[in-house]
Amino acid sequence: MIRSVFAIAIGTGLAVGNGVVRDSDQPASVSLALLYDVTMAPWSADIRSDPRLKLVLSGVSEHLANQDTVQVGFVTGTVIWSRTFGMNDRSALYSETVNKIAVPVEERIRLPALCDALYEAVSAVAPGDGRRAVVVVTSGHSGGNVHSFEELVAHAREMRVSLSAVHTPWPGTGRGTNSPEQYIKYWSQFPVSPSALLTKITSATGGTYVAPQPGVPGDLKQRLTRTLEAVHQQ
Amino acid sequence: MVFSSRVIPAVACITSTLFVPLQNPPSFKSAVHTVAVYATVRDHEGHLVPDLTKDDFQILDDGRPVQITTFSNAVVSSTIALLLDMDWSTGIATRHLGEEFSRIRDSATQFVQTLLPGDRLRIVTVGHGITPSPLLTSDKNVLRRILGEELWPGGDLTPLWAAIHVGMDSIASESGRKVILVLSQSPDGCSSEKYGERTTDFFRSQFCQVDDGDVSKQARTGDFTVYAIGIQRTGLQSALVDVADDTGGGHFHLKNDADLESTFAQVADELHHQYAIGFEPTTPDGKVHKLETRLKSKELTAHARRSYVAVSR
Repeated sequence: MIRSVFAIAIGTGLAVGNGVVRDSDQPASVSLALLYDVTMAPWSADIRSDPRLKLVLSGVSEHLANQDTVQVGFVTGTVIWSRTFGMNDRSALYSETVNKIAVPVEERIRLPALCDALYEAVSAVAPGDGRRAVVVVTSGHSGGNVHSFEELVAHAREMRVSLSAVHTPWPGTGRGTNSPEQYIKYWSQFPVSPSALLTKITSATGGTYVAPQPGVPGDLKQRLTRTLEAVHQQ
Repeated sequence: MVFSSRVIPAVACITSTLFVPLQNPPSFKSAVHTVAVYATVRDHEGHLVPDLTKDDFQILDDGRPVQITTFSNAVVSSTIALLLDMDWSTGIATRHLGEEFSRIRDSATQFVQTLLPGDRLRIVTVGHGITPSPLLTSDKNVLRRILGEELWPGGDLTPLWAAIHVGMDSIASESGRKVILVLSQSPDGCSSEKYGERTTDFFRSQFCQVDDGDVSKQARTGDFTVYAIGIQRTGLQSALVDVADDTGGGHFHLKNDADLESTFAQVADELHHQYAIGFEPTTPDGKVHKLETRLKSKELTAHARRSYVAVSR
């Protein structure tokens, strides 16, 4: 039996609340959905100890302004966790997530349903206030989707939600994952590529695409920060 | 629904005789379990022969002739799981990787084009695990979209038997003829030790609970027809060849530059030109029975499933 394919765990984010008075000189708040592709880690690794997950969640936590909201989801094959973060527990974004997350192995030994996850993330963030954006940290591979990327882009445009991607290739050698140059050269021989796919959907929705830096995993947080800054400036 | 030769021009080139339009599709549902036998008949030149009658056939159940209760030479639609093994890590392709990828994707796309309106297809990609599409559909636009967006080059290890098992499970509840079409590039990875101990152990724990014997049994009891296409390098595993032949399907072992598209067309051609024959087992003992499909004419040969499980339903 085929499982439901979309893969996102969504919390409703920081409470924006009624009666919030915005200063017109201040930038608009951001309703953000953050997606993390758990298939990026090696199969046998414990996702809870994935150092990149910590970088990503702490990076988001540090970058939120008071009126921003964040919802966290994971790109796999089914819903794996849902959590609402309040104003006071933003700092717990990482610890709470790691404590509660439980990704069934069978959800990781397949291609991630990236398109469906993004589609659901758009729906989840669409009712939010201010700028609405989905940021995904992903390898860019995708499979087992109900929706097409064309449908995704149309949905995001209709909901006025931008899609941004921090491209993080799978680790390992042999597929151009040692350097950006090697990565680009490897994929240039194919009619498909994760970077082309991500570039397409982010540019079509007014989002930001952050190109892969396979040889420098430590700068993931920096690249995410650039993406979040761009979201705030949209 | 009437078959038109312009629907599948590639098939028309291969078939030498006129095709029989879809009339009343055979039904194998009754109070008594009817065993379905799909037979492909070829002449001495290998051409498909689609215009025989019931009297031209004889079915032997464990050596004993049985009465044919259902017969049709009309087009029978199929529910198909197409398994595309994208793992070429067991050997570097002799041709350009991009060309190889395009060859597979384009051939699979062409296979989609050969489907008839009643056929339904689920695409299962194998490479970085096993990913079945949630969509089982006859919509060619959707199928082309899946092949365009969800097929990725490369893989790590091929969980061949697990993938076939997943493919069969994904269409097991469907009625009518059920077909597994496997494009295989690598042997099953369960015996491989090319990666480290940790990865190998993990792979085996997740993908090696099913072996060729389990797949063979599932194919027989579930009335699946299995076709296998092996392309270059390591070829088809002999056990997969056995499963394909035993289920009345077929296997194709292609050389490097062989025309993959025409091989897919050949499979489609067979599926659309088979005889649907049914009989009721006289001894529903729950055991595996041998089947033999004979023809009156010595000039012709029939290919069909070689066994079934005699259960009463």
